[in-house]
Formats: sequence, C-alpha cells, structure tokens
Amino acid sequence: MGTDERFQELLADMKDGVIEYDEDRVKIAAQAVVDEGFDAYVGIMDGLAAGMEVVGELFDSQEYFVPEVLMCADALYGGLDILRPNVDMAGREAIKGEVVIGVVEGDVHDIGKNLVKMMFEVAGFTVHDLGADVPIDDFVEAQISTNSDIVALSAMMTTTMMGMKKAIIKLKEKNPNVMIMLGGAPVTGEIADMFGADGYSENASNAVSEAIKMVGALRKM
Amino acid sequence: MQHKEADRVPCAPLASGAARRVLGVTYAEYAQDADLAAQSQIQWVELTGSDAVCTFLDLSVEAADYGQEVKFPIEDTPQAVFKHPFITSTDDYARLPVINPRKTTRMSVNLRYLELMVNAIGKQKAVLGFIYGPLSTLSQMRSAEKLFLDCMREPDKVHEGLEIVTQMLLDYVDAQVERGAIGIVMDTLFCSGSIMSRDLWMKMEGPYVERIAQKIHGAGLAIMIHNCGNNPYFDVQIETMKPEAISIAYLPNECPTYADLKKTWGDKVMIVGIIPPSQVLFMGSTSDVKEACKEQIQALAPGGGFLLSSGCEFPPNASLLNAIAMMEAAEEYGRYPIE
Repeated sequence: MGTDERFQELLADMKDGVIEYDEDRVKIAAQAVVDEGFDAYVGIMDGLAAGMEVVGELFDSQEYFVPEVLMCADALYGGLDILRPNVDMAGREAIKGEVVIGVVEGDVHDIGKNLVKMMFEVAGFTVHDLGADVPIDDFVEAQISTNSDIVALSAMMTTTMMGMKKAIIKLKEKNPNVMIMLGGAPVTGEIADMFGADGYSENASNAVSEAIKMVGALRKM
Repeated sequence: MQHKEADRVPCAPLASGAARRVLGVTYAEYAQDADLAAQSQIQWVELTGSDAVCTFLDLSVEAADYGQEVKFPIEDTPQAVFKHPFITSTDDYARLPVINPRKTTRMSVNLRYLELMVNAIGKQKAVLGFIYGPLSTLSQMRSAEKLFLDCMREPDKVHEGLEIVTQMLLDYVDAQVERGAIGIVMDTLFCSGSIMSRDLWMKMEGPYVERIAQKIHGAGLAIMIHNCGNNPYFDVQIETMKPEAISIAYLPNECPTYADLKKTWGDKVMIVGIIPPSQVLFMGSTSDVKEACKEQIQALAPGGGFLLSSGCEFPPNASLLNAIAMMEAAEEYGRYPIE
C-alpha cells in the first residue's frame, strides 16, 4: 500500500470514527498518523474536522441529537489530544484567532458552550475556557491577559442574560477593539444588537463562521 | 380543558420567582419559605388576575432533597452546584437513597406551599402542583452532559437511578393529591428535538412518566406537561402520559405555524402558552406583549382548548406590567366568539 493510500485510509478512519462516535477507532488512527510520520495538522483538518462537519449536518437535520454529538465530541477529543501536540505550525496559515469563552455569572448551563468551544478548537482557534458561572470581571481580566480577539459569552436564562450587557460595556471600556459574540437560548440576533455585541451565534456550527468573519474584520483594522 | 368556548380565553402568566417581587421578598427567601412563597403567589394573583397558578419553585427541589448541593442567590433562581455533583459515577445511580418527600427539606416546603395556595384560592382559581421528570431530576445531580453520555454508554445504570427517583415521585404525587391540587404539571424537557431523539427518550424516561401519569389520573387529577424545548415531541408525550394539556415555548417541527398546531394537536390536548419569555415578556413592551397575545389567541383560541400563558416561567426579573398586559389582552381579544 502506498503512503498516500495509507494516509487516506487513516483519515477515513478518523472521519468515520468521529461520525460513528467510535473513540477507539479514532485514537488508533490518530496514533498511527503520528507513528508513521504523517502530517498531524492535515489529520486534524481532513480527518477529525471533516467528521465533525458531517456530525453538524446530522445534527441540523435532526438525525443526531445532543447525546450523539457529545459522543462524537469525545471521539474527536480522543484524536485531537494525540494529534495536536504533533502539529508543526511552521508554514501553516496563522492561527485563526484567540477566543475567551464562558457562561455568564449565575448560569451553569454549559453544554452549548462546550460544543462551541470544541468547534473553535477544531477550526484552529486558541480557546481560553473560563467555564460556567463566570464573574464579569473575570471575562475582562482574561481578555486583557490573553489579548484575545474575541470574547464569546453564553447564557441560558433571562436572569443571567442581562449580565451580558454589563460585560460588553466593561470589555469595550478596556479594549474597544475586542469582538464580542453572544449565544444561548434566550439570546436572539436582535438582543445581541441591542446589547452592543458584534456577533451572535444561533448554534455551534455558525459560531465558527461568525468568529472567522470577526477576526477577519479585526485583522483589517 | 373541555375544548368548549367559555366567556373568554383563560390566561395565566405562570410566575414563580416573579411573584416574589409583588410581596417584596428576595428570591432566596421565596424559594425556601412556604408562607412567603404562598403570600407572594396570592399577591401575584391579586395583582394580575391570573386564572391559574402552579406551585413550582425551581428545578432543583427534588435534587436538593437527595443531597445535591444547591445555591440560593439573593435575586436569582436557585440552582444545583454542578462543581459538586451528588452523582459522581455511574455506580452512584443505584445508591440513591430512599427519601420521603413529606419530610425532606425542600419538597416539604413545596407541599406546604401547595396546601396554603389551595386553602387560600383553590375555590376560585386552578391550583396545580408540580414535579420534575425523573430523567431531568437525575440531570440536576449529575449534570445534563454527563447524564446524556451515561444514557448512551451505561443506560442500565441510569435505569437503576430512574427507578429509585420514580418511586419517590409517585409518593410526591400522592402528597400533592392529598393537599388538594386539581392537576399536576410534569416537566419533561428532554422529550424534545433540542435534547434527544424520540427513541432514546422513550427508552430512558417514557416508561417512568407513564407510571407517574397513571398515578395522577388514577387520583382523578389532570396532567399538564410543560416542555419548553425546541421541537417538543407531542406524539410520544401524548402516547405515554395522555395529558389534558401541554405547555410549550416553541412549536413542534411538524407545525410551522400556530394554525398548524391548532389543526394537528388542538383537538387532542389543551394548548398552553406560547408567549416567548425572553424576546417578548422580558425584552418587549406591553404593546409587544399584547400583539403577541392577539396573534396567538386568534390562531389558537377558537373552539376552546387554549390557555394563554408564558411559554415558560414568566421571567423572574421581567416587568410586571407585561404580566398585566397578557391578562388585558385576554380580555380585549379573547372574548368568545373570537374575531
């Protein structure tokens, strides 16, 4: 079997392993990518991320639901943990951007945030996850210390959603150029505009495309 | 519920935490003191004229009594502290203790709250009790994310926990029946497209809610399902629980419009809702509220079988004027026959 053929086989194993939430299959293939000297970055993008893209489509068409997507995410992370330390960034396109992400203070619902975080990581962003129930000042501090391009805020309840408005004011006070993105059940595009956010994500898949647009806009400034 | 036209569309902006602001107590006080909860709700009914109440406190009541750590913010909803989950491994499901809801801390407060409400306004208004579905109750002790993975990987262990919780909920239902509730609201959020497949829900929670529903109906009480998920599954919820009413915040996928909802499900179940809590009740003006109410009344009220309500709990920190606007809309646009 030729080298390219072998690599394609491993990419397919990782892609299908993610789709079928077969963590063992993904890990075995990811380890083989490393051991046999194949490009780990391509492994992430054309294996794991390609699988996750299909998972996203299955989720949108309501064939997969949250439990299945969580299983796929575990399979993906199984591979990512093996491949990421072996990625050679020299000559690659620049990292897409830095993101601080968290669930606003008072709120502990974090499945959505965790899925968005995973999408960002797979897409090549560097993510600083502050977790759930995060005080507004912690978002500000993290943005300053990481110099992140984007701060992504999540809330699931109307009571905690108002914290987003306050967070945006404080974040922009310290750094007017930071891009802020909102997500979560009570949030709509209209509410995001009203609060002064720069972007709004209806779901995990479009969070990444929104974020890429934002970072693109930032880099032009 | 009889699917007949009364004098006007009944209306109940269902408040839990919002009621505390009428009396003027903190959320932490309201959630832990039956007398303050009852006084708050009685004043809520006096202020708004609401036709019905549900003695729902918050979603961590049952879990707290198992031993889940819960925090009580001064002005926000009580919630489980997931950094310290009560269920830390799948072996813990089978080890859940047997608890008596009449004697535990939070459920006994909730029962006393129900009793006070029935005594105070039970003859004039519909007073409904509340239970959180067994699978959702487990999620408050495990976190939803880990519970879902457990359902996929070790469903048998989850079933051990579901059986224990269901036995307790059956007892809790008995206690609510004894206190004079005319119906019980059962929250089965996970039975929706925003959470899990019909198939998984039927395997995991279906059999247990069926038993609970039989208990409720056996006592002569009505069941109102509350499901504020996206794409709520009407078919399997009706199949398992045969509810008299379903309260929703979003339309099911098979019904893109309110008219479709009325046509498909309106003769099988009373529709409750569907005023959007966030965009309309929380962020909207009183005119926005009335507009939304008018649209839904016109589509859903003809023929009866509709209770105008908030899609989920009336937002705890929303303007109380918006609750009053809902009642005014029911008066203004909801007189039968609907124009």
